[in-house]
Amino acid sequence: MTQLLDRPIAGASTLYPRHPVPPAGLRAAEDFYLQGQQPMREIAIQVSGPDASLRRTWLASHMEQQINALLRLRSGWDGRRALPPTDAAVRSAVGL
Amino acid sequence: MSEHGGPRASLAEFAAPPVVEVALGAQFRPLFGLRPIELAGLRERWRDRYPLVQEQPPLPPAIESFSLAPEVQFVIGPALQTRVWFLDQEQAELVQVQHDRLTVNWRQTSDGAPYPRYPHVRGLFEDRVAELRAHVEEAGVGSLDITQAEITYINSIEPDDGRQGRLDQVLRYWQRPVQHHLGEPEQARAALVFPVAGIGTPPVRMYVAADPAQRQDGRRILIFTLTVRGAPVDEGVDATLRFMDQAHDHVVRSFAELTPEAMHERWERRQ
Repeated sequence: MTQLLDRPIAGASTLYPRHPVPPAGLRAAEDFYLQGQQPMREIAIQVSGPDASLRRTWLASHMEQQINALLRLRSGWDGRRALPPTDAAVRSAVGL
Repeated sequence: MSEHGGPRASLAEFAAPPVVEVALGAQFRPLFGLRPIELAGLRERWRDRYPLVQEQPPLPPAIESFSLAPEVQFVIGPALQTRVWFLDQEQAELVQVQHDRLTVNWRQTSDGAPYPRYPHVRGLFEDRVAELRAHVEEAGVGSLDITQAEITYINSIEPDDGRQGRLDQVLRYWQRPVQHHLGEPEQARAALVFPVAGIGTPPVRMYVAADPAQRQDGRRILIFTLTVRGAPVDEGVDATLRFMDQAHDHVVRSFAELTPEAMHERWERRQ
């Protein structure tokens, strides 16, 4: 593959900055290579009452909504290299 | 642009150079302990001179190597790093600090503000790097081992009638494509890379670029940038300053040699 030779210069300039911006497709490709395909994830929070019945509390519903919104974030959601929340992080949040 | 002095061929000197920004910078071995919270001490030390503070994304490493192709550089350390800008009230003097880099900038933030000349900006860098080194040692986060130094001059040139295809007004050897069936280009850009021998530890390079740009007031200009970057002969501050002095000489000579003499009259060349 022919490769363009292009080196960033004057990175510390501020009036006319020259920050190299990698193509979005390149970042997505790099993330896929490093982390594999990200499956769609969703949680459902169920609370068992003292009588072992399952309840749908407001708090559980609210948390479920918020966490599922976070789980829909894809790699690079901040425009750079941020990753979506891990399963462990979600379990910790729910546990708390 | 002005003569630095010393026993060298006299450098070109311009009374009204088109320079709008100068940056003198050093990259050093990463100090991952130099997080924003550890910069609080510097903030206090610099508060009187640089009362304004901003955060910016960090700059990636820019290390000269013998391969001209882009290289992947791995830096193993905490992911959350930032670049802090310390600015004076006029925002003309700027110090940029991140875990592996210090840069001092002068910027023309008001029309016609005169370029304070290289010795002044060099003095600012010399003071800031000494203060950073002291702070790093006091904070116990490591030592300042400089791996790359660079100087950058950015010039703003207004082509006749805002014609950004007129690179001949920036580059002496540019030939206008007058026979082209589509006429004069609307925009043009050029990039040159020169190896620089005799300073620092090879490889050292000078990057020259001419690019179209637009000022905030809408005026179309050409930006002419010259950067010299490389490793000083050792990792100390004295070697870095010597490297910058020599790099500055190359920048001034190149500016005079690469730009057309007709523009030298506009910039009031004195010698």
